[in-house]
Amino acid sequence: MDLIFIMVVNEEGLLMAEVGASPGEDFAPYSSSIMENASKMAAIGQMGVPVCSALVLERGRMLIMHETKLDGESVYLSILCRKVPAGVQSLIRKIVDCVARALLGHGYKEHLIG
Amino acid sequence: MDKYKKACRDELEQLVAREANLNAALLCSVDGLPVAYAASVDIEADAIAAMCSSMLSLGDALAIQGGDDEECIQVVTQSRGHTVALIHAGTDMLLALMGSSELKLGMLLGHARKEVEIIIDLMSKSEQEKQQIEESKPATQKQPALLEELVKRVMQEAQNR
Repeated sequence: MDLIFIMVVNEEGLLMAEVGASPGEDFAPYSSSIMENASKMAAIGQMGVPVCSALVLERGRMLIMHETKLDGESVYLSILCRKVPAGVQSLIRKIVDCVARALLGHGYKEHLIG
Repeated sequence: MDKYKKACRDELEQLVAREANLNAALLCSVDGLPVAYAASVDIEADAIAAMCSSMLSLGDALAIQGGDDEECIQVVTQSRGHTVALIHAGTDMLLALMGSSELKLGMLLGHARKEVEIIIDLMSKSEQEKQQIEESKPATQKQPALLEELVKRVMQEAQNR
């Protein structure tokens, strides 16, 4: 698994956390709009709830985006990797756990939805 | 110290301990008096509470001047090394969180909102407890809620004599 950066953004498009060679504040607001479009597209196509949305980039890179709800509020993850990680969903779950623990303290598991 | 003030202070202490880049969390009344605080650095709680109250009032006034008919949601002050977020906590309290620049604004505001929910919950529980205690007291021990009520009672007693 070759991760270039991980970004966590709130529903207002404000950066909550970043690790790696992240593009920073200017990139953050796009996370929510991309995921909203992906969700609408999946709903219109009757494809169910999307797990994550991916953007395939040159040089074998892929930007994986995911929306989660923490205690009723949306949080968006953007993960740029060079090779698609084998366990994308378990990676996403681990990141969401970290954010939830930081934001909600020890009782965070009660507030996780999805 | 009131039970709810201690509970609020414990909650703020937990938050400051949990978030390494959060330097201080201060709950104060809208008129600028500190209620509870926790800090990993030395702070002048009295002075900060007064400044925070003035700052949030200014934010409220600006929001109303800008065309809103409600108070502002939050006021954020960012300097090179620090970020301060001020947010209303119910109708008569405000919460100030002070973080270093490593703490991202989204996370700081996230903490502020969650903390406000907890504080409002603690305050309403304390209010309910006070009401229950007041209701469980015998009628003679009950404090008159209003001057009007006291006057009515005195007049009633005078008529009965």
